[in-house]
Amino acid sequence: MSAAAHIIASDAEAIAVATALAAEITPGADERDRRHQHPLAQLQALGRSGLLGIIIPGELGGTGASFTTLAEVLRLLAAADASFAQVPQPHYVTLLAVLLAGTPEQQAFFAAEVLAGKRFGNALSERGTRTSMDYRTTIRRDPSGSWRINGTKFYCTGSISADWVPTYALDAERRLLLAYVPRNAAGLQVLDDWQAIGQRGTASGTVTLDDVQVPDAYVVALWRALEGPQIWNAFARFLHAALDVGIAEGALHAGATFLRTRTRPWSEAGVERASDEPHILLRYGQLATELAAATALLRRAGHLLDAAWRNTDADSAARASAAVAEAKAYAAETAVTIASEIFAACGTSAADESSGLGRHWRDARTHSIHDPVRWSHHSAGYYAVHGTFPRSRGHGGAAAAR
Amino acid sequence: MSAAVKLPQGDTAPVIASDAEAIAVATAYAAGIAPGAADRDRSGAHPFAELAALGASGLLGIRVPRGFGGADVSHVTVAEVFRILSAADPSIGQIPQNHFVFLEALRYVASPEQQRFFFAEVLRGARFGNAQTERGTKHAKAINTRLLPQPNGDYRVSGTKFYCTGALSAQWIPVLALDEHDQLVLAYVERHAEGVAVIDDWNGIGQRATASGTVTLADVAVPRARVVPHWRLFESPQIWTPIANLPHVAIDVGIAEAAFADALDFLRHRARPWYEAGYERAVDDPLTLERVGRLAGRLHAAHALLLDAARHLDAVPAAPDEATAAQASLLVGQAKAYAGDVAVEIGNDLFAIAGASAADAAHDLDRHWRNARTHTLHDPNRWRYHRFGDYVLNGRLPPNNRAN
Repeated sequence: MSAAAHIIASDAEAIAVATALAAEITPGADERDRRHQHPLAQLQALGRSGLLGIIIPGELGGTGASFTTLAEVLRLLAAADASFAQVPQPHYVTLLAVLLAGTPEQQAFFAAEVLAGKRFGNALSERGTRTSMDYRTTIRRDPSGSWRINGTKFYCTGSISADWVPTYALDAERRLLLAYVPRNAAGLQVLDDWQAIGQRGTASGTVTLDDVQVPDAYVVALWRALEGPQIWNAFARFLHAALDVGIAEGALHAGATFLRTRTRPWSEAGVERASDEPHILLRYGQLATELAAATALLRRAGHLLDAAWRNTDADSAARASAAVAEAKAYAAETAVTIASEIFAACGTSAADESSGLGRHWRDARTHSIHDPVRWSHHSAGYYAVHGTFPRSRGHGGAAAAR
Repeated sequence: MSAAVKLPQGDTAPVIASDAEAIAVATAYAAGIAPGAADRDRSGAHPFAELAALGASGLLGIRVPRGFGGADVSHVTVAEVFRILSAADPSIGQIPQNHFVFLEALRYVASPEQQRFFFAEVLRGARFGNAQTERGTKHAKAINTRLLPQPNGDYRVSGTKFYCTGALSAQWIPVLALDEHDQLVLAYVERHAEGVAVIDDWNGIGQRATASGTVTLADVAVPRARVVPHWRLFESPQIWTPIANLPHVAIDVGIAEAAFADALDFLRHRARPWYEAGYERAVDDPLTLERVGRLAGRLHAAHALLLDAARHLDAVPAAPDEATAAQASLLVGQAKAYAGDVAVEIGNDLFAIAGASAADAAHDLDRHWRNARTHTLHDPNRWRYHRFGDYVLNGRLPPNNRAN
C-alpha cells in the first residue's frame, strides 16, 4: 500500500474525511456485494486518507482523536458500505493493543507504520475449538531465539489485503500473545474462502500459519494488559456497535429512497404516494427513533469509554464496558429490525434482487452475530444489579477481544 | 399592577444562582419527598406541604432571566431537575410543568412591566397552575372560554376547565381564553380571586396527587395588565412548544428510572430464585440479568435522547428560522414518544423481574405503571412518531402550533 498517507489534524477533520470517503464509496456498494468483491481500491483510498491513524496519540505523530470520533467515522463508513467499514475494525483493535501493551519501541515502530498508511488485518479466532474464546495456535522459541507460530485461523477480516496480520497465539505457559506477522511472511497464507450471506466483501476467511518466524520486536505480551481493569475488550465491541448503527442508518435511508421513488400506495389508503400513508409514517417514525436511540447510546458509550481510557480503574472500566454492552446489543437489534422492516414498508417490489435492499438485512444479520446479543444484555444487566462487570468479559479475566 | 399574592410559607424564597446549585437543590428536595411517594399515591391527597417546600426551595425561579435576577439555567438543567423530581414522585414532578411553561411564555410575549411583576413573583416562590383545556369540545385543543371586554378596558372571564394540574395549590392560574378579536390569550388570574373555584375532582388511575381536575371561572375580573397575547408566540417560528414538552419527556424518564430502581431493589433484597434456575440467589438468574440489561439500555437511551433534545434547545438562537425551530420540535417529540414507551414498558416489566411477591399491594409498586400509563396519555405518542416519520421520509416540518 502507498506510503504517502495524509496526517489528519483534528477530530473534526477526521469526520470530514470520513464523510467524503463515504460519499465516494456509496455508489459501488450494491455491485461489490453482488460480486462478493473485496473492496481493494476503496481500502487503498482508506489508507491514503489518514483515517487509519487517528487514534494514535499526538506524541507518536497521530491525531489523538477520541474513541467517540472513531465511532462516528465507522458509523459513516458503514452506512455507505458495511463490508468495507468492517475491514478496519480489527485494525483499530490491534492498533490499540500496541498502545496498551506494546513496548515504547513497538509503539513508535507500529505508529509510524500506520501513519504511513499501513493496515492491520487479524488472525484471532479459530474454528472448532470448545468455545470461540479458546485457541490452539502456538508460539514457541526456536533455536535462533526467534518465535515460531503454528496454527489455523478463521474470521480473519481484511487480512487478505492487510500489511500486517496480528495473530493470537499461546506460549508454552499458555499465555496469550499477539504477534504482528508481516502479510508476506514465509509460511503465512490467506485464503479467500469467506462465503457468508452478508458482509460478503470483508474476506473474513482462513489464515494458516506454518512455522512462521517473527522476532521479539513484533510480539506483544497482551496477557499482561488483560490482567487488570482494562477497556480493550469494550473498545472492540464499541466499534462493532458503531458498524451496526451505520448499517441501520444505511438501511433506513435506502428504504426511504425506495419508498419515495418506487413504492405504490396501498389501495385503501386514499393517498397518492406511499410515503403519505399514515401507517407508513408512523412505522418509519418509530424506526427512525430506534436509530436515534441506538446512536445516542453509542455516543454515551463513547464518552464513557474515552473517560475510562484517560483514567482506567475498576469502576471506570466497568461503567464504560456496561455502556458499550448496552450500545452494542441495542445497535445489533436495531440494525436487524430496521433492515427487515423497511421491506414491510416498501412492499413486494423491494424483494426483487435489483432493489439492492437485501444487502442491508444480510449485512445486519451477519455482522450482528459477531458475538451473541443475549450476553451483551446479560453483562449490562449484571452491571446494573451487581455494580461490577463480569470477569468472563475480560475484566481481570482471560477473555480477549476481537 | 396590583400587589403580590400571599405565599403559604413566608414571603421569600432563596434565589438559586447557578445550574449546579439547581441540580443540588433538586437532588436534596427529591430525597426529602421520595419516602412519602407511595403514601401520597394511595391517598391521592394533594401534596400541599411538599409544594410549599418546593416554592421555598427556589427551584421555581431557575428559568427567570438574569436581567430579572434569576439564574436562567439551561434547558438541560431544567430537564434534569424534572427527571430528578419525577424519579422521587412524578405527581410532584408534573405539577411545576405548567409553571415552567407559563413562566417561559412571559419571556417571549409579555410586556416589560408584566415581566418585572411576574418574574419577581416567581423568584419569591409563587407558582403558576393552569386552566387551559376544556372537556367535551371537538378536540383537546379547542376552547370556548372567552374574555369579555369591560367599559373600563379590563375583562371578565367565565368558563369551565379540566386537566388543571396544580391549580389547586398555585398562587396564579394562567387561563387560556379567546379575546374579543378571537385571538388566544393567557389571563394570569389569582388563585383566590373572586369567582375562581378549583375542585379536586381528579380521579386518574395514576399521577393521583396532581389534582388535575376542574377549575370554574364565574365572572372573574381580569385586569388588562394581566393578559398576555399568547397568539403572538405562533406568529413566527418558535420553540416555546418544544420547551413546554421537554418536562414531559423528563417526567417519563424519571418514572422509568424509579421503576427500574425499585425492580433492582426488590430483586436484590426480596426476590427468591426460580427453582429450575439452579442458583442460590435471584440476582444470579441469567435470564433475569438479560432482561435487566435490555431495560437498562432502553432507560439510558431515553435519558440520552432527553439530553440531546435539551442541548438542541439550548443551542437554538433567539429568533430561530423555521427549520431550526421545527428540528427542536421533532427532537423533543421523538424523545417524548420514546421515553413514554420506555416508562410504560419498565413499569410493566418491573413485575416480571421482581416476581410474584412484588404484586402485593403493600409495596405499591404498581404506581410506576399507573403513573407512566396516565402521564404518557398527555398527547398521543403515535403522532409524535408520525411527525418524525413524515420528516424522515418527506422532509416535511411539523406545523407551528401549541402541539408542536
